[in-house]
Amino acid sequence: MNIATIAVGLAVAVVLFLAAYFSVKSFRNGKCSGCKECGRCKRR
Amino acid sequence: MSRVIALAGNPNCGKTTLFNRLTGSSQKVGNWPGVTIDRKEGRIKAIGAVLVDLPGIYSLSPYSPEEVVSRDFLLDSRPDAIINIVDATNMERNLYLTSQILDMGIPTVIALNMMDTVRRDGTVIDTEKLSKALGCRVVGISALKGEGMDELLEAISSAGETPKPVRLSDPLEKSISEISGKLEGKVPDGHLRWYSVKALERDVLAIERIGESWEEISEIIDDLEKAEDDESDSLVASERYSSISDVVVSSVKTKRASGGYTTSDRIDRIVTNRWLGLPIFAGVMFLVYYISITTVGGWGTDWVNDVFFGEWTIPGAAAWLESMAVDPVLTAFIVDGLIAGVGAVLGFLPQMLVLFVLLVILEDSGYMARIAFVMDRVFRRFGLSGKSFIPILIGTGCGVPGIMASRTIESERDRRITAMTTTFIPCSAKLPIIALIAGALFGGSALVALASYFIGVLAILLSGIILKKWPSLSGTPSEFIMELPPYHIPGVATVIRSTFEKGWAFVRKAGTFILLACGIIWFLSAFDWSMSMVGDINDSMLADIGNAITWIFVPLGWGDEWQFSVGTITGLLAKENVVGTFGVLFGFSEVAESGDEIWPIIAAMLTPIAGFSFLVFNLLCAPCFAAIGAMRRELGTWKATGAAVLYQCLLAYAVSMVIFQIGSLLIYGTFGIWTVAAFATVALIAYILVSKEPFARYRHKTSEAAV
Repeated sequence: MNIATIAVGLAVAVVLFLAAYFSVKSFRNGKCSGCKECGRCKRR
Repeated sequence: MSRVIALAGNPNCGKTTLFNRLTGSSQKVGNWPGVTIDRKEGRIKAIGAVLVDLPGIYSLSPYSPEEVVSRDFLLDSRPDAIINIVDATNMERNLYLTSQILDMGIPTVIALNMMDTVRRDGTVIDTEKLSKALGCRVVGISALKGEGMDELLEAISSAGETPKPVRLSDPLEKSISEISGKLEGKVPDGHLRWYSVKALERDVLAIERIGESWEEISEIIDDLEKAEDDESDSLVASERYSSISDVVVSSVKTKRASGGYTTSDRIDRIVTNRWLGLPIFAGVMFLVYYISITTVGGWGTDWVNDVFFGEWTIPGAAAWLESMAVDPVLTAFIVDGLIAGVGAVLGFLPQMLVLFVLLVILEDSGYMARIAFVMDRVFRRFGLSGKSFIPILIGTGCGVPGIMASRTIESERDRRITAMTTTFIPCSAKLPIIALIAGALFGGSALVALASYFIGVLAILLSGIILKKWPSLSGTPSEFIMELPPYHIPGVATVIRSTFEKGWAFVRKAGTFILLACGIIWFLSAFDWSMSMVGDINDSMLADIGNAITWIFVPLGWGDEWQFSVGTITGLLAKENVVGTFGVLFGFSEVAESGDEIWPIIAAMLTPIAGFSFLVFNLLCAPCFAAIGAMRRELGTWKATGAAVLYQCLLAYAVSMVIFQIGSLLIYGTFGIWTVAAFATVALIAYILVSKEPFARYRHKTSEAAV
């Protein structure tokens, strides 16, 4: 396994981790698709 | 601590537009009542205050759940000041709420919105006179154009005086004064007048909060009703309207003679016509889909697929990874899994953006509000009211806010039916499936999208009849009263912002959830159970999983090919996944690189009627998990949610089977056991539709469960 494979593999792992993190965040409790139309996303 | 300012007003008078203008937010606005269903907060940086946008209300005696949100906030949180936004084109109706707000004793500023429209119509409003008559500051503004914002901010900063309430006739004022005497010390001081008037109106919430004193107060009201020979709430309403009418007559000069027609009236005579309304709507929607799917949007999608992905991204990524000598398995995972899956979904972005632009223009111009009015006539025949059409309109963007918008319906039964059926209308995530099937099997015809839209509406109507016959959901439809807003040219900023937000939500979902799902799909399709890479996709784990369930869909015409069953199941997570899954399974990266398209592969696997059956099943079956979660919140229990999802799946299965089996009989002359089943299904549905009490045997069980 060469260094390029390790580097690209790590980059893909980070991307997938972030994708999983933001997916879980936006689907928290299965209540929200993050479409911003109801105002919940931006409530401060 | 920051001052809290509440923004209150009638539905569709521009509250959220003003909220966005004052706070710099970008909340969803729409040119129909009921866009705001929950309160929202933002900061007005210029004066360091918190602004709370409340759902629209016609009065402080609410009927629907989102109206309760507004009243409870004004009563219980007692904001430091209220901006009462009033539609200047319809003052008499709007000032009814104002007269109630002034009773609350909270410093109030009246923002007279849509002054640009008033000027255009030649009407002159004397804000000074109005201010004197109402006893609070009145500022003329145009929230859409940003006119009068500085003056409004200055008025809010200096608002501190308790407004004087609208004075009613002497007998009523005498009764209010007597009631106030009984309530002193029992309700918050600032709200004494408000509680007294509400008690006089026999308002349910006021009676609840007053408690023991009600008996004595009731006698005062009885005496007044006897003396005036009318019910107390009618007396109060009539007095309020009479005072408002005096105020309006003294401060407004209208150019237009009464009985004359405005431009909006003239347009409405055509587009809301009993006979022309629906054909015009069908024509408009055909044009919308023709532009977004077949022509402008279609050209954009072709370019993204053929050039952006076909010539640049996929070959570029593959060549770069090869030049770096990256492991072939990892290269395949990135190119054939992640890029192919996400690329197949993002390829439809141009079509979606064009569709969003057109729908936002229709919404913002005021046309969609007319459609709710036109649809009320149709919906009423099927046991639903036009109010159910507002959530459906919102559901064309995303089913989640569509389901939440069902809260605007007063009747609980109608609300539950609407929450259960709103997702039948194609949301933006279903558009890629529609465009894929239209492109692969119907030459990109806009009629496929139009048919999908109207099948969604038909499914809602059909469900209206069926569900209304279910004992726990039966009842007469809610009354639908809706004021049609005047037409206006949509604001460019609103169209761009709304389109960008919807488009960005789609891209973000593709870059997160869909990316992840495509990675998993590729892994399952590239390896077998012993974790060896497979040469033929039919030997993969995913093929085994697909083959285990695909028999279920054989009667629907697409069960022979496991890829379609897998696409349908992954679509339950998010509907975009259907196309993303096909991108991975049908080798989007390879066909895009060689200049071919994924469409011929699908065309070779499915007949047009099987493809249409696949499309209809995916449109009508259970929505994505986020929408199921929203349904759970509106329906209250998982049991009811499970029943709703089961109903959706059964209806989708029945309709798709009927389409495929009877369609195949008519087109290809094929006849078999499933054709008989399809005819039996049609007969069963017809029986339910025609029979007065098809579910009579469940009446006893349902009433027991309700107890």
